Amino acid sequence: MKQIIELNVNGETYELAIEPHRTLLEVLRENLSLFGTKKGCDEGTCGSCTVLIDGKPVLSCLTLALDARDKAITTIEGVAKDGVLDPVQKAFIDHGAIQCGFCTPGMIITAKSLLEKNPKPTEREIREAISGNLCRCTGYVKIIEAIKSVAESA
Amino acid sequence: MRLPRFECFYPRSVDEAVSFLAAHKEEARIIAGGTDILVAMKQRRSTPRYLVNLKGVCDLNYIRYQESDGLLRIGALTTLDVVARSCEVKELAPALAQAAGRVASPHLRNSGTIGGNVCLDSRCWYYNQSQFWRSVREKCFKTGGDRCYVVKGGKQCYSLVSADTAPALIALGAEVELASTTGRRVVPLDRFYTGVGQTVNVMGKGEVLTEVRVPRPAVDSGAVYIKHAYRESIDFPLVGVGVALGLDGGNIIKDVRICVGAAAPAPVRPLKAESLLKGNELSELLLKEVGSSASEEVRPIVNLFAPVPYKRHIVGVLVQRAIRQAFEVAKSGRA
Repeated sequence: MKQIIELNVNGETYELAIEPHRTLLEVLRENLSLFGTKKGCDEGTCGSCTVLIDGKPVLSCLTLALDARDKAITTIEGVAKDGVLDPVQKAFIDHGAIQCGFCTPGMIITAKSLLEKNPKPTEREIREAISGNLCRCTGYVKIIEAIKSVAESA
Repeated sequence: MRLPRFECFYPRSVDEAVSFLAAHKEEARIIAGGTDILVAMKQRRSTPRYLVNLKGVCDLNYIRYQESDGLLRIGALTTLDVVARSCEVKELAPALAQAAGRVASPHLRNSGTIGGNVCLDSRCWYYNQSQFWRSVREKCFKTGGDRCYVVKGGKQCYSLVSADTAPALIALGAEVELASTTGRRVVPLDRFYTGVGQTVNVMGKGEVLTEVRVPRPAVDSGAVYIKHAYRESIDFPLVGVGVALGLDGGNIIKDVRICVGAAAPAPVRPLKAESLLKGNELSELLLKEVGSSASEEVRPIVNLFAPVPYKRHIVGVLVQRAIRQAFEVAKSGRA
């Protein structure tokens, strides 16, 4: 049976009628048309569905939409502010860290949460932080360089 | 893959949770972090009518050390990330912090709970597949059928318990508290796993795991958890070894607990290997004996996720490495 819930996504509040079996990933994409968050493996092993919930990176494919009530959700659409790219986004572009772009939203969300907690991570810490985000294209080198560059300029 | 339909019940207390489970026995399952059961539901390995969502039960999320009984108590709903980073866990049960910090990936550790990891369903190539994949074969033991596809002619399910925290907790002598409508019981973790893939652990359908308890480490002791997996993240262990040992103030090993996980349908304590160490000093020769004894006792016979000879070899290597490291931890703990 559908339940009326409020979801707070990227600072906006949405009132939705959602059934218990819908995942947060599905609701973001299908109800809110926020297609930036990707459905990759849909079983928690690729990280392309990563969003921030109260600042922590979680997999939205394994989060029930009902469980995301009363929490601050941030998707990739909420990273740039008023059309101005976040330093992480700019670094990804400048360092060639984006090829097909599918892993990118999840990578950027994870990188942002790392830098918020730890503004000057070591390379090892960066690698550990993104170890749940798979990339089939880049081989990770440029992604790590991009995140490192933001860390170094902090 | 979409989830099948279900109703979600949000108890506000353990009492409400166990009452609901008792009332809906076969049709209800618990969801904590959801990282195991939701995948099972997407693959239609589990299709409960009700999910009892424990996230609302706030008094299951805590870490506290009780001086009076020397027990480090961790609420079942505490996330693995919190357990791994906790100062108390790092101080009083560092092997658990190591194990919790190696589960899956950082994202999964933010949702996954310690209770969920202890209660992880057993795994097998033929079981952890979608409904479509499994539909071309007759059902195996674990899904209610009459055969095993991994052990030809096998008479039981040989799916593996691959939780990372289990061998670490068993090496540390941990116990778990289980609650039901008839009250609470405490089960030592080395008696929690049945060794049979169909049942996995001793929990009844109406029970909720509420707390994990780890005894305070003895003076002059050290413990460690080592995980061996294909990749450095995301993967379940191929072999996971927990070792806790206590010294006598010198170099003699007074007591030791070794636990090998992911190599059998339950974590295994190689008791003969342990007895070889007790009362002795470490030497390369002794370690080799201990390693091969552990390998024989653990008997990884199941060709799942890695070939059997490889697993046997890795068990021996990891047990030796873990003993060496635990020994160093014990010595470095001396003032």
